[in-house]
Amino acid sequence: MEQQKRMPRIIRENQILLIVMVLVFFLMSALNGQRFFALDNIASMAYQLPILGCLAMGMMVAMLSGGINLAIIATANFNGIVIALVLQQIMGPENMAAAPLSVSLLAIAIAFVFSMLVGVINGLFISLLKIPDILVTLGTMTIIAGLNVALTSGYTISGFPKEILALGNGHLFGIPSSLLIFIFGCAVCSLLLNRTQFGSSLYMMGSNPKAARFSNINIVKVSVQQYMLSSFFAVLTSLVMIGQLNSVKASYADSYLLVSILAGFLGNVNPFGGFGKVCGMVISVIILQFISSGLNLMSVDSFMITAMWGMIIVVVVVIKGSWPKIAQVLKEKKTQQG
Amino acid sequence: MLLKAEKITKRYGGVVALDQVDFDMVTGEIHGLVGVNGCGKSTLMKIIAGAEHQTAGKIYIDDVERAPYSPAEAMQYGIGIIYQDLSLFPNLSVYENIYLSKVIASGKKTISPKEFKAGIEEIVKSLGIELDLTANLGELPIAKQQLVAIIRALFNKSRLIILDEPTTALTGSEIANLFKILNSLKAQGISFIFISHKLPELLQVCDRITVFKDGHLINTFDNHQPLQQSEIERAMLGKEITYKKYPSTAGQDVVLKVSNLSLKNNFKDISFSLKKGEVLGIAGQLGSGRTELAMALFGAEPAQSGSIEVAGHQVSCSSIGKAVENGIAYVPEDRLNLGLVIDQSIRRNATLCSLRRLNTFAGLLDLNAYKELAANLMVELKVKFGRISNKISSLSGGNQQKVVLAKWLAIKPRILILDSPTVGIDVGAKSAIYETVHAKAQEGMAFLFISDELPELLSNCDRILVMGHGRIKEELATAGLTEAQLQEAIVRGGA
Amino acid sequence: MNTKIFKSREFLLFAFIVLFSVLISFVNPKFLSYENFVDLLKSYTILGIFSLGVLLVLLSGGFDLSFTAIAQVVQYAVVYYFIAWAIDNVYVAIVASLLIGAMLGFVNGFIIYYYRITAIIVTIATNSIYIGFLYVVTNGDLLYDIPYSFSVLSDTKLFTVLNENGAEVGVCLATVLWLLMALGLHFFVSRTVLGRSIVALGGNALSAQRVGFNLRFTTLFIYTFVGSMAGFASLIQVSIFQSVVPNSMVGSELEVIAAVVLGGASVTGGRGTVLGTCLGVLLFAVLSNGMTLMKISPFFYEIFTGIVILISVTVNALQDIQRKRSQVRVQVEE
Repeated sequence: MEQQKRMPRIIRENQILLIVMVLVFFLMSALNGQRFFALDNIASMAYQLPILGCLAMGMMVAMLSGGINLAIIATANFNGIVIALVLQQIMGPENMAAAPLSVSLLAIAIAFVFSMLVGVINGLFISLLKIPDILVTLGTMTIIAGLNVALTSGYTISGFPKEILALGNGHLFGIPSSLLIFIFGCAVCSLLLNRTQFGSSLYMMGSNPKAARFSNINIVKVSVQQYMLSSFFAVLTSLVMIGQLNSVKASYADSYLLVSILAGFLGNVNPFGGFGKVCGMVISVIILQFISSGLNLMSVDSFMITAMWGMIIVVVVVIKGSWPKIAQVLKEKKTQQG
Repeated sequence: MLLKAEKITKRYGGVVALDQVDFDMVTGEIHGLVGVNGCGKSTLMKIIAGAEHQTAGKIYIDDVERAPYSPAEAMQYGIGIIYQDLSLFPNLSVYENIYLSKVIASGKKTISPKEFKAGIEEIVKSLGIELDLTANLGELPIAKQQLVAIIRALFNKSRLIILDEPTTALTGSEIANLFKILNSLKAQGISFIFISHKLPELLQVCDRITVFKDGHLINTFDNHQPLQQSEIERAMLGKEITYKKYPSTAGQDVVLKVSNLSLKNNFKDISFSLKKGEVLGIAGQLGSGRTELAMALFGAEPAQSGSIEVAGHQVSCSSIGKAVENGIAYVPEDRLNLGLVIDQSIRRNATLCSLRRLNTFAGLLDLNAYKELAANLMVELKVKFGRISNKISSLSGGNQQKVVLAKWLAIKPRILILDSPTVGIDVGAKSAIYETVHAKAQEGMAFLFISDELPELLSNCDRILVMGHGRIKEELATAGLTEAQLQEAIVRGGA
Repeated sequence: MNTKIFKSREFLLFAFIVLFSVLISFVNPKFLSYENFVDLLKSYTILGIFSLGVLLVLLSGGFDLSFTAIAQVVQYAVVYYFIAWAIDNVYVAIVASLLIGAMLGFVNGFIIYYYRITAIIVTIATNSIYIGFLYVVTNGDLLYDIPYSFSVLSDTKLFTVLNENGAEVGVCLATVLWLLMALGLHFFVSRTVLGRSIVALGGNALSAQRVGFNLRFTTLFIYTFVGSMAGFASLIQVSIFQSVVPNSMVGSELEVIAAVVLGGASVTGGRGTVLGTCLGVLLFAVLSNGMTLMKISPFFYEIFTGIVILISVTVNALQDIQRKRSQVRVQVEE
């Protein structure tokens, strides 16, 4: 049947993406030379990648059912703010940093419960009332963002205990802990998507919710789990952000909202649902990080980086759109020669 | 000659969908097109309607040769097509649906709301029907929507109207009404190409019937001398289906007992019982409430009152989850939208209902068991496939249906409801499905078998419930029952 | 017929607006003054004009998240060059902003149509590109010394009366233009062939293709229209605020979409009216203005907005479910 040996699945499924990654890598290396390979650049990439990475992963989870979680960043900020408020409540407003480990853990746990609650509410609205995801999360985003502002009066709250800071800012065996958190998130997500009833159900529901329902998939349960998982990534993002910024605020990371959707699309997540893998997302986030770090080294404005991220999507869209034609031409050439 | 197609060939890449087909239409005839899925009839229809272009061959309209044309040009030539989904706009008014395409084709820029009113009202009147032109199209029943599509075609001055499976969503009386309208239009010189898989309907309404198979035109039958259904079947399938009568495997224990089940606007006072190993047929026209009953038993649209007993215990079927827990499973009629997740792999589809059972103690799926289950099911149901990780859309209709069956058989339900399980699939797959059903019945599984095909019901079932107007009208034993008698009972039942 | 009107989204919105107005005026009687009303309209004119473009795109079943970025680029370009070339003519500026906006919108339509990519992805991408380049080119610098004639749009007052202090109070020209454009869009959507085809396209895209609509032209037209509306809105904005801040509108795209959805438009296409959209914008305006007058902390405005959005989509969803449930599937014999 097929004479060619089949390539390993990871490569086969992400061909274009890997090519783009390599091209971007070479481009950035060519532009920056040594500096791009330098250990401190690689370290800083590893340090920066997790925020966008976690958000994008959470967005992917929502996109698997053809939806979008607009509330993800609001949830992440909310999570951080709840941690801060619990700490302040127990330790007193000026004394957050002195919180013992047990109090820190308690704060994280309470915030976690609240964030999961947000996921549950999103999932219930979407599945029970059959309202498009984008509208539900637009609503919850607005409410939570408002809540965030109201809870903090729009101010920054800073000065976290070192145990919490270590989660986003520390190192373990020389690896930034934020990267470890991201890897942990990816592993959990990958396990859930590929190895559990929930994962399989989610992919099937994403492709055809009606047929999934008629195959005894509990749509409400899957949606709720899905948005809880999405919120879980918001929690991880929040921990990383607290560690790196040592503060929380209602408006942190706002600019990442749309970018994380782009990352999903770049990572081969089908915007109509049903297809998308952790692996593609990781490559996609790495590409975006290469671009931003490379341009950063050239002291290019951060807005140019946003523009380049947009450009890369357009380029990938064009390549993908023309790929069948190119493949056709290549094939014909091959057969002519052979 | 209204339309003549000469040596039409259509290739998609390497696949030949139509091979040198000659086809013609005269003024004022209804021409039936039949064949199993993928036989090429839809391709020919799309070429005639301008939606696709032939790879080779010529088309003459009114004896003038026409180069491959667009749908808009087809409209100018007087060819209209009504797809199975009707291609109307649910959010516009009936009135707008009728004139919009014509206005667009005319290149006009603005619309004056009253302009076409008289013309359209005249067409509506000439058809002798009642139609509220100001109503939102989406609020009309399907039968009315279909009439809107026909009126649109007439308003576009179509002389040849292609109808793709026009009766699938209509009740018996609506079909009769449609045929009346088609015949009166035929008398006015309008021609129809009528695509359907329901042979009795074709025999009833068509002047000629053309049979397609594997991209070839097999034969065109003249229906002016009474034709036999079996003749057409033979041409369609290359062989005649022989229906053998399966012996009853019904046991003594009642596995399902339904009493006074009712759901407003769906069905009322349904009572029957199903024994272990029994295959119970449900006959009735579309709109008789048979599918609605199945949906209620399966928990998809739960009943409001009445009781359901499974194996002697009163159970609740208020959700699909509960129904399945009680051992009730359902193979829906709409295979592509409800039966399968068509974009996903064969393996994923086959294991979809068993995911819960594949969980290990850690909450993870047992991947080996998962793969093994899928492979075993494929073997058990003799599904022909390339790679099990391929999309299920790569399978033939018959093999797809086997996978739908497989995914439920994997969880060994007590009662399996089959809703028109053999529509649009080939003979081989049909008899394979019958064999599977009876093998499982032998083991004690009970079946509710809903079908439009009477020979199928007679051969498979022990008893048949005839439904009409949301109620069970009659219960017939199949022993000694003829097709004609069953047909009569269904007509008596009404819709 | 009459009951239909009372059940319609427009009536519901109108009722809410009246209800809120009454409530607010109990707390602060200033709310019901003509002066407050025209101020309220003026401050929501920009959102109102954005919403007209967004309505059309949602009607067609498309989506756009790039219009604020387009607005920022248009605004900067027009004001920068008008200052640089010392052109002080608001009419030329209007034409220029419409044209540049149209061009940027056209790019969206082009990619969406030719590469068949979901509009939401394309417009997020172009949003990043436009904003990114704008910042790179401008360094984020603000522009002041806006050409004098631009203020015509916000300072010209029509339908004037004198308030208790003897000052003239009236509807500003920009607001009148917004309402005129709304009227124009209403005519376009209900009475022109292209307008009707756009609505039809949103109702059933496959049918539209089969019936022979010119999808290429329609798609390009829709996104070009959104672009030019965005361009125009940006000019109003500069006229009102008398400065150009490159990120002043960034992030407000979701608020605009929320207003249009509140006005009864569906994100899946084919449903929505101009009147509903305008009322949706008005409801937002009344809410924010009212909360200010009632001295409720502005922090709560967002929370309240979110709740209103959720309630409105929930009402929609419940109506749909109700309609589906009451459908007669079988003529049951009694």
